[in-house]
Amino acid sequence: MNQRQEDQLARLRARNEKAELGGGQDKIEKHHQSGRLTARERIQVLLDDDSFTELDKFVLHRCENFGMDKLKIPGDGVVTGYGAIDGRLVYVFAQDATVFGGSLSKAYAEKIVKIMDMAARNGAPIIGLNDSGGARIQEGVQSLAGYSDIFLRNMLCSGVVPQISAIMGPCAGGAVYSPAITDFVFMVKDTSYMFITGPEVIRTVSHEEVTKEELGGAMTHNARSGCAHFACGDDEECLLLIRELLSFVPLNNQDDPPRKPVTDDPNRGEISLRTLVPDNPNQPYDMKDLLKAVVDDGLFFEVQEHFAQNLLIGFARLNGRSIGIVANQPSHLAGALDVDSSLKGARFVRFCDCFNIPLIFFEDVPGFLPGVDQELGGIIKHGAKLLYAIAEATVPRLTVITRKAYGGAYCVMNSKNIRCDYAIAYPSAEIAVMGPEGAVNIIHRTELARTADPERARRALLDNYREQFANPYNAAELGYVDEIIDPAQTRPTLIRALEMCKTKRASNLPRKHGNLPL
Amino acid sequence: MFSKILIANRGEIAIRLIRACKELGVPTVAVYSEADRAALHVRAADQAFCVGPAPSRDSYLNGDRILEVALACGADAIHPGYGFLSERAAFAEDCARAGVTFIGPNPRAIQVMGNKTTSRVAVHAMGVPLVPGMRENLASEEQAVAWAKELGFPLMMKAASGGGGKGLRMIARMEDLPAAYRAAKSESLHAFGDDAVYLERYIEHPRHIEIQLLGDRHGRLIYFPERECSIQRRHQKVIEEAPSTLLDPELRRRMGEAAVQAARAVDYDSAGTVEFIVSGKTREFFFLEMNTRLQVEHPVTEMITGIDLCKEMIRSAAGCPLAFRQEDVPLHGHAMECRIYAEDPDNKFLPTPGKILGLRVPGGPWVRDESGMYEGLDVPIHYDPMLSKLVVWGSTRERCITRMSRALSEYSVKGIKTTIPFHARVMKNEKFIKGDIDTNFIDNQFQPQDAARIKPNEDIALVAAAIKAHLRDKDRTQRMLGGECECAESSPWKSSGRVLRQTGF
Amino acid sequence: MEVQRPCIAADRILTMAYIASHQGKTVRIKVLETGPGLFRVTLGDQDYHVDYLEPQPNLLSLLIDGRSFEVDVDAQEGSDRFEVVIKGDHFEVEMVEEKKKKLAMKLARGVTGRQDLRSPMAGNVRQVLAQPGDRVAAGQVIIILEATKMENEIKSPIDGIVASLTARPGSTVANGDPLCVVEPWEPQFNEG
Repeated sequence: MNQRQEDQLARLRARNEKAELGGGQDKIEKHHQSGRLTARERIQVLLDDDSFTELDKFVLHRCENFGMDKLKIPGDGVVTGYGAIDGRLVYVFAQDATVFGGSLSKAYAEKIVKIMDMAARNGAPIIGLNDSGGARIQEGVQSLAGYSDIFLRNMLCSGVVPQISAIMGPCAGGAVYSPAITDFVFMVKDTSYMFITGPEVIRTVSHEEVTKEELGGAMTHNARSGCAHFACGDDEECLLLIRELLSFVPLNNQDDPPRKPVTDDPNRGEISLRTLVPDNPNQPYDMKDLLKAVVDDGLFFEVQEHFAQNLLIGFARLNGRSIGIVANQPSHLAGALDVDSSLKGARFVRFCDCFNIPLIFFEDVPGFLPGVDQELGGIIKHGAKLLYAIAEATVPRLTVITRKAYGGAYCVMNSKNIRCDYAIAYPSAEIAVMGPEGAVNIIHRTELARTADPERARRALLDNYREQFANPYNAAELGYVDEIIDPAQTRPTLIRALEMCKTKRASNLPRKHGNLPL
Repeated sequence: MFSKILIANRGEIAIRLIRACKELGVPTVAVYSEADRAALHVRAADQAFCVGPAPSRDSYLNGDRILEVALACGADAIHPGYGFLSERAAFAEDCARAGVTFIGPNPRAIQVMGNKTTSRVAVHAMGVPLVPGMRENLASEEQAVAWAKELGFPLMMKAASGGGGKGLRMIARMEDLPAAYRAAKSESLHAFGDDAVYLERYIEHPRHIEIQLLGDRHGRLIYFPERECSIQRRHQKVIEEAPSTLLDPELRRRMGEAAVQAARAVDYDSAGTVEFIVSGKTREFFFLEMNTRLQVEHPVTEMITGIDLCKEMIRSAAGCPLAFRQEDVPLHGHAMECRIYAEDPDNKFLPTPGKILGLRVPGGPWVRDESGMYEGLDVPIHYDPMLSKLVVWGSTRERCITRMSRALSEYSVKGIKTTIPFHARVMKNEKFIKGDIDTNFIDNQFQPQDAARIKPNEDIALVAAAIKAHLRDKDRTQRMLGGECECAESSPWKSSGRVLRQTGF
Repeated sequence: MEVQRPCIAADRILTMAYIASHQGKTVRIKVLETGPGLFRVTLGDQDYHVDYLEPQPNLLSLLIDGRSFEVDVDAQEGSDRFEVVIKGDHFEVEMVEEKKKKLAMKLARGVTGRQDLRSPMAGNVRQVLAQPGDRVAAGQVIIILEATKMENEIKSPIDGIVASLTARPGSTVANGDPLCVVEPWEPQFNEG
């Protein structure tokens, strides 16, 4: 190598080093002090060691206004590229808050769009780490156009490759639409927030006083609005959880989820399941105990754990294969379905359907939650979303009815007639139009009105009803339940059924897309 | 010679005896409990019969059943080994009545020597020294003083109801006696509910030294060079050696003759061992007890004399006169035995049951491994946790220790923890190398802190585990990514279904 | 300096980092495969160049900078624990992939601090099972709330003491109403 060539290499190294400092060492210090990692540090934690390849490190913005031509920083505020998680290809962009506050310019948006296009062509997930002040005002409409370019790709990639967003700093205004379209939103507690209009504007317009944390912090979106799926203690936890999530999900919609080597005996019976469901129908139990007893190694990766806690959703494995779980939680609101839980369940079901992840429904539902606010809140259309989503899904779908399965909620929760692949019931299951209390009041109304001792008569009628209807046998006799099992055998039964359905091929009628009751 | 011998034992001693019988040309019968079906001794014998379920009292201690088996298969002799039925006079009598030779001494010898009191009375009558001490309990402080004068200092005040090393109090001088007497009585009352105490001479630097004897049915009785068994833990022997560093030829002769005298008290006519407690300070020796059977540590005597004790014991039981005289017994070099137990020396020697997943046994010159274990053995919980004995000979004690260290370093048992590392540390212990040992050696030299020592090669262990983990994960990831080659996983049927289903623009 | 960049997906993962734990101490270990049977293992800040051979299952022959070691390694299938024996010494080592270990450590932190328990739904306070000043264990039921015809158990998330109790038996509560406050409590270890 001669001198000229050596100089060229030295200049390249220098440029690389400068680019990797982003907004400079001072800004990096300040960023760390706020409890956050830098964009490149986040990528190192997220991806496998030494697997990251950065693209467009030297890209500069093209704005001439407001003296911006004098102020150009390589990379322009976002780090983009590809790497591996557990050896599998992923594309990632990480917004760099040390450069112009992480604000978005046209060039910046082009960087993101470039890797999103690559992801779509090569069939790999897109992970976005958001930490940005929003549109770069100096760029004017160009930054809005940049956002729109991104939103278009979010839409195009939706259901094609998994898209994950992490809110690791500010994310405000129009910028929130990108994470909103993606499949899962992670938020970091205390250092991130997400809203369309902030507290200042709200104060001026509607005179409401609210802090950023209350309005759009991690717990607000996780517990109240349902816009986020995970609340993490810090940056590192957030990124490591993303890795965990991806291990359940395929790289694209043509692929199956990765299969882990099996360490848990597929034939394992669990005697404790025989006594998990209490005899007293008014007594609750924790459905998570059942899930943990059934899935591989007791590992249930819960999604949206703080929202609509009357319905559990999440991922797990059976016999090494990923499954999506939707389960009523009897210890909350008696496990009834309501507006929030319908929305929570519906989106999750559709995600699993997009990505070939079989679904298992664990059912113990007394019905939809009665209440004026539920009705006025539109439980009709929201409940319909859940029904539609489940009925439309063509991935293998199994149901386990542990106790109650009443009325419309029974139909909605993956009943046989909406193409459930395999329906299992416990002997304690009660599959009926409604619970004994309600039914007796209606059916025997005249009789009860006339009798001398209504209380005793009611009790007798209740017992009679329970005997006759509050059991799974009527449904089994009609073929609406495929098998009534010893609860201890839940795990092997589900695994056998899953293995049987793994080559399932089903479709809906040809159409552009249905009209999901949004 | 016998026409068939039944070995009423298990583990390494059963194999040892079967080997002796093979060399004598005598067919062998093994007995086993249900837990021992896969044991080595079953496979080594010519015939084998199950004698009961796992617990010893239902199988190896079931004398009636064993005798039944012997008669049924035509065995004319039974060798009981050590432990189990070896010191049951009743069993010896049953055998005699059934016309089966019990390979051991006459039943009276077993009975007399089996009881602490009768044995001491019997040997005392033959002029064998006993530990100076009282045979009844102290009635008063005055009596204590009187006895103290007679027995001599230092003294040990013992609680009559004590045991297992408890209820002992050392008294160095007469001045300390009254206070010690009062304190010992009250402590004993508090701990054992009985304040009876008695006095015995306290043996300083006590060493446990035993003499191997061999007798025949014709009245001949000879003694062998001694065995030193001071390295003990909770009164259980752990390391034995022969000869002792304490004895010289004169003391050896005196102790040997005393041992013979003791045995003559019961007309001893087989192999047996007389155990003495010897003061490391004054070199006085006192009779402890006599074991009327073959001992675990007999190999060290065999190594320094070249005489096969098992074969000689069998020959003697068959009526052959001893083939050699006292002056023919040689003493050549030095031998040591390490008993290898399924116990964790770094965790209070707690037993470590489990499966033996791998076994590498040392070899090389003058290394003898007496093993009952094998790869795949599930160490049973019903019996003694001794796995094997590693016996080594060297021309000097120093060379013997070096050789034992080398042999221990080659001994590898995988799947369970053993006392092998402990033995290795003893071999490096300064006091042990000097020969400065007594029965308190382990308690004094091996404190629990020893267990928390930094083991050498910790970094190599981490490196090895890391590479193993890496290879395992690489393999797992490859399987995950490459996909297993099942047709169902990537079936064209499935793929075409997906293509049909999806809508496009 | 050329950095060996691993291929993504397709064939192999060339480097992996682990957190090793032994006798309470942890250390970061990086394993880089430099050739067939050759590894560069970085323990903390020390490098070891290892020639690795497994002549028999779980029996390793390692040549490290010329020194020869015969090592027995046993691992349970599916477990991260390895039992290593070198020259008679036993080592029990836990070897977890770095990121997996970090996540496990973070998630194990659990619920801490003052717990302000509020009603998860509208309902009636059926029973109150503890009083202010009572010690409660994590998971212990403090209040039973009746709602939607079901008994709902309100449990303490932590070991603590009931600091205050707003719920009264028979009273009606709305969604979000305060029920009770549990303060964390550290047990004193020198009892008796």
